[in-house]
This record gives sequence, C-alpha cells and structure tokens, in this order.
Amino acid sequence: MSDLLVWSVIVGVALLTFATRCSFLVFGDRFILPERVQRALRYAPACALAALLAPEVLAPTSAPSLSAPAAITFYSSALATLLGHSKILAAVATIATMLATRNMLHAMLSGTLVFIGLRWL
Amino acid sequence: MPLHRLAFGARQELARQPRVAFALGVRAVAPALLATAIWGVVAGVAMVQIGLSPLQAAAMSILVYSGSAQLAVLPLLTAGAPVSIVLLTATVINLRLLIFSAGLQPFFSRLSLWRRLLLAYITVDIGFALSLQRWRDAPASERGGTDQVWFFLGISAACWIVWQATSMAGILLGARVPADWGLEFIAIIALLAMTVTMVNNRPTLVGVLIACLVAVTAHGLPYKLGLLLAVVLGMVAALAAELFLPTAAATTAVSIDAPNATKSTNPAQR
Repeated sequence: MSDLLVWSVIVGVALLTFATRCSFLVFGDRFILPERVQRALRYAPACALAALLAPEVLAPTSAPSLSAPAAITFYSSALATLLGHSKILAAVATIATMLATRNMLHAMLSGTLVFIGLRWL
Repeated sequence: MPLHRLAFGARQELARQPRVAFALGVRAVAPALLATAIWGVVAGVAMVQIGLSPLQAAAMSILVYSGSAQLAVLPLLTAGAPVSIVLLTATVINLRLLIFSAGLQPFFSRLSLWRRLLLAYITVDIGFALSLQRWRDAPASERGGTDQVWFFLGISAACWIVWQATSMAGILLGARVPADWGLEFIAIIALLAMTVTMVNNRPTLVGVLIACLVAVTAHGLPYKLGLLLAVVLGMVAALAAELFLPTAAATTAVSIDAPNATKSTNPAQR
C-alpha cells in the first residue's frame, strides 16, 4: 500500500463523492431523475455494502482461485471457521442486535464485544 | 432571541430569521449527534489501523466526508484492489447522495453556484432526511426560503463539526493502539449495522442476499471484479423482486437509507 496509491484513492474518492453531491444541485434545472431510476438507485448502496462485507466476514485470508472445486472448498472452509471464527460470530451478533433493538450503537457495541471477547479467549 | 420564546406567538415569523432557523436545525439534529460522534471515532480509528498515516486519515476525513465511503475503501486498499475498482465501489455506495442532491435541488435552486457547491459538500443523510421531512408538503412557491437554507445549514454545520472533531480523536486514538488488536474490524461491524438499517423492504433483502452469495462465490475473480458482479446482480435481483412483490414498492419510495435518519425519525430507538 504505497503512499501514491493511498493519496490517489483519497483524492479520487473525494472528487467523486463531491461530484455526486453536486450533481443535481448544480445541474438540476437541466435534467430530472425519473422516479423509477431513483428507486433502482436506492438498491445500489445496500447491495454494494453487502457485496463488500460478505467476503470480509467469511474470508479474512487471501482469495482462493476461481475453479468450481475451489468454490466448494471455499464454502466448506467458511463453514469450518464458523465454529471458531470471531469475525463471523461478531457479524452474527451485530446483525441480531440490530434486528432486535434497531439501534446502531447497541449493534456496534455487541459486535465489537463479541469480536474482542473471542480474540482474548 | 432565546429559543424558548418560540413557544409564545409569532412563531412562524421568528422561525424565518436565519439565526433562529440555524438554531432550530442544530436542535433538530442534536439527538443524532451521538451516533455521528461514535461513527466518527470508529472511522478515525479504522483509517489509522489499516495503515493510513494520521495526515492521510485527516485529509480523507475532510475531503471525502462520507463515513460509509471512507470505511468501505479501507478493506479494498488492504486487499490490493486496483484504484479503479476502489473508486467505482465508493461511487456505488455514494449513489444515495445522488438522490439527496435531487431531493434538495428544489430548495436550493435559487442560490448562487458557490453557495450550492458549499451546501453540496456538507450534505449528509441526516440533513437531507430532516429537511425533507420538514418541507415535504410545502408548495413549490414556498420552497427555497432563507429559513430553509439556514435550517439545513444548522443541521449540516453541527454534523460537520462533530464528525471532524471525533474523527480526529479517533485518528489520535488509533495511532496509539497496536495494529495487531485487529481494531479495523470495527469498521466492518459499523458498516454491517448500517447495511441492516438499509434493508427495510423485501426487494432490498433479496438484492442483498444475492449480492452476498455472488460476492462470496466470485471472490477469487481478479481485480475484485466479483464485487462489481455482485452489486450488479444484486440490483437486478432487487428490481426483479420489486416486480414480483408489488406491495413492497410503496415503502421503497419513502425509505431513507441512513442510520442517523432512521434513528432520529424512530423514537422507539432511543
């Protein structure tokens, strides 16, 4: 992770985020966003976060190769880590608390406690 | 003019004064600021723990100013994903800002370009949610009043100050904690809790589940392309589910994908 890479990511993400925020505030008079497109766009962030998080929680080590047997091995190894892996259990605790209490702080706290607790065991 | 006087007469006239509107905005967002503060500390700690220098982390916090995008970028950086994939992922996660921008546009369209750029930079989920909640039913002729701009400014300024202060605290804290504590995983936990708040209808649930399945199965694809594939297929699945689950469409239109927003609009949470 070189300095150049980090800085280009920081500047790039900053510019893209600002451009997204500006979009309609600056050019809003010239085009409108159809209701249907707006609804479709609402799904994108949740899907992107889920796609980002699932491998992070299940596969903390380097990625396996793409062949079909590898995918199967991947699932079985994910299952094996379920018993002993603090990340998966922390994720389960976070989701369960979030669903039960609808409170971000409680969910983050329970996930963090499970994660840290299991690491110290 | 003290705020408590607002309870007695002339309330409408007073609320139009910039200072009063600003204070009302600060007041409206106050209950959500604790969540913003904790989220800020988590982001600060996570950025430094993942290997960013304090200067880089501070620059990211000020320049990007989007918690979910900042946190989402971190695991991709450690995984060695190409810059293009990192930028694309952050953009997809930020697509909700497009909706905020479109929603706020009628209120700010009369302002100068520079003011609109400033308001764009400080736009966050909660500012959009509270402002639209307040003026959703205002007739078009009353949109864009000075008080509306100042109310939005009050919310946004409070959020910006709290976010930057707590991020800096997190950066200083993260620099003191050894990296092998694995504290950067707290960023994943925070994003996970946020994702759960976004899943507020069945099409989104379908999309999220498909996205998870595809992301894990295609995790071995080079350049993190599995991530993009998962997002696209997840969105397609959600749209398909919308067609087959027609009752869910109505709730989609009013939902706001913001942890702070759901927190402040749902009193049962506090």
